[in-house]
Amino acid sequence: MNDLAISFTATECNGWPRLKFLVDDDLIQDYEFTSDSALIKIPLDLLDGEHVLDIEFYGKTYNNTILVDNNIVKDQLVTLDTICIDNVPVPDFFKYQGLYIVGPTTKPQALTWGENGVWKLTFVYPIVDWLLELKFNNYYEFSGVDEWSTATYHPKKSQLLKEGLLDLENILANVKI
Amino acid sequence: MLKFNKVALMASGLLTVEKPPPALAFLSGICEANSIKHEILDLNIYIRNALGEDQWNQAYTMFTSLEQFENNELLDNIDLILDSAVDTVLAMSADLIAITVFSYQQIQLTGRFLTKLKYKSSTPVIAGGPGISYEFESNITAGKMFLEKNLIDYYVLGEGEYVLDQFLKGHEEIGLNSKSNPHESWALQIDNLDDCVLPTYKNINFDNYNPGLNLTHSISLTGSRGCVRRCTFCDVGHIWKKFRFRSADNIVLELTKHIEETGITQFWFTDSLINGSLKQFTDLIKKLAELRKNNIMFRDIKYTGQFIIRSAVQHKEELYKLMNESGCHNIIVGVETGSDKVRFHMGKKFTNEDLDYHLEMCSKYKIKNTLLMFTGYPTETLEDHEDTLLMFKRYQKYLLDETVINVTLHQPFVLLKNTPIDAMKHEVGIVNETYNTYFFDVTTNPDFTVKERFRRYIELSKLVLDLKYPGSWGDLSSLSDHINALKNFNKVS
Repeated sequence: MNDLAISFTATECNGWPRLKFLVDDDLIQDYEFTSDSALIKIPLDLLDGEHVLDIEFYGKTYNNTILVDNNIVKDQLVTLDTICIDNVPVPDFFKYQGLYIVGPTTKPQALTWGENGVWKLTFVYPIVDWLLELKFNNYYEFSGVDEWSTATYHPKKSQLLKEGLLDLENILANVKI
Repeated sequence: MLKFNKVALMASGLLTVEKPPPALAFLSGICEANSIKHEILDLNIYIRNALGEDQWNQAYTMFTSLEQFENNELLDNIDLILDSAVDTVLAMSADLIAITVFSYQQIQLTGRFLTKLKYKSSTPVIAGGPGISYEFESNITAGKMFLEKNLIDYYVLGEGEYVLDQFLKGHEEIGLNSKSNPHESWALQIDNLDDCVLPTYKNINFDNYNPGLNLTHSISLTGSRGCVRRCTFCDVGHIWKKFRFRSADNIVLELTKHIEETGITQFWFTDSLINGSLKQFTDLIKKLAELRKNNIMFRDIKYTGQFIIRSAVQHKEELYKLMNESGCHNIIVGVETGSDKVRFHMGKKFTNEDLDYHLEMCSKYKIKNTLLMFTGYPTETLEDHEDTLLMFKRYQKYLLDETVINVTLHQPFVLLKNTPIDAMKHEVGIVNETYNTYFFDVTTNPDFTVKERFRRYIELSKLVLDLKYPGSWGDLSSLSDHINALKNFNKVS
């Protein structure tokens, strides 16, 4: 069980934006902003495997955008700012995994939404494990290495250690006491 | 009365190559304060530069042991390098050679070097550092052993700053040992650390350190000696009887000196605990936060050190905020176990609830943590072990934001001599023990055999890897040590 917490900022224009939160098509929350920020908490208690989080921006009409001389002077917008899991901020790459789908158009890496559409994020549960896999394998090959630390998680090193532990286990099997 | 015009300063033995040994900076500071010319040779770096990284790694494993090793090609290479190092030291034309030995792991190589040195030169040699105080055999320190073999002329046991300072002035103080003194003596502990001469790194070539690691240079700094805790498994309380700390002003003075002399703004506190004295630590971080905020020279200060966890009542949120503002980049915390019961027995004086709070605060204020852990503490039950497994699952989330950046899980519990648990071994039921090894029995916990301790170690290590915790570089060599130890154990059991 994990708690996903997503923080947003929003702008009002003849009404506040509305969002629906769905996990695997189950409606978890229907939210209408009442101020310029919001924190939405989504409990995740899922079977291991792939799942989809949809955040639907809906109900926006022409009234929610004000144009002067064809320039937008005020608009109803939502921006996804941060994602936390169990109160721990998740690296930014995670939020850029989502796709913002407006009609036939898919907009990758769009985190500010101004049109009715769905931001779709496919993830794997257990989510922390999956995120770490992504982080270490794809984004930080030598994660943890900075000017201070010689500590790393590296898949190859991890594999070597596992093999060493297996050797140790085999020797241990022959130890009588 | 001896007077010296020039001193050759040496650090002996194989250590890490990430930063210069602080002892060299201490020695250099003392020479400077006495207006004595000096040159520096770090034998570790000398050997590494000559051998290259791969062979140096092999040599490191070979020499950081007290076991005798078989002669081989690598040893021949090292002997040639040591010959060259002797020539380099003698070319300094010093009338005193001062050599510092960091720990017992450097004794073998130091002996080898000194043998070659004394073969070629009669220049007096004075040795000091924790390795010299190591009890090489029963009641025989490494210093005494070297002296009796005529490899050195003087050695200092205990804190050497004052003794060396006086020696360079021509005075012999308690703690200075030579053949003219039949009884070995230890230097008196220095009560006021603010009185010590400030070390200097200006004669140390930092380009020799960190080769290929692409890490920013850092400087070691000591804010206190001794420890406020008496953790049962640790011998620091035996080595440093009394906890003493420097004033925040004095630490800032040293830090400023290093920045001015080297431009380096990253510091490793060598203290057993940087927050041993909460008041002093709070004073220090307030001053550092102020300096970073108001002075461009200090803006990039970052530091790391070992940290003790306390409850939320003692470590209020403001402390973590100040740590962040003062440049606290990462801390090393002795968590040791996931069981409150075991940790209480160890004398650590904090609970899992305190640890939860600590990591929550560190996450909020972006302070990274290295967790020091081990399995197989003599009172550990299966339930305690399960608590540790659960703890790692619980904290996996902190890998996401790098609140936890490292876990050291090098070995199952090792019984050290002169530790509190050594003193209470009858009460705990430890029998058939061999110091510095994993091998002992526990009469009060009879199922807790060597085999079971290793089983738990393997189980925990596997879990830690599966959960993707990073480990330190030492893990692979630790594993091969365990494999060899178990193979040998199996032969005799």
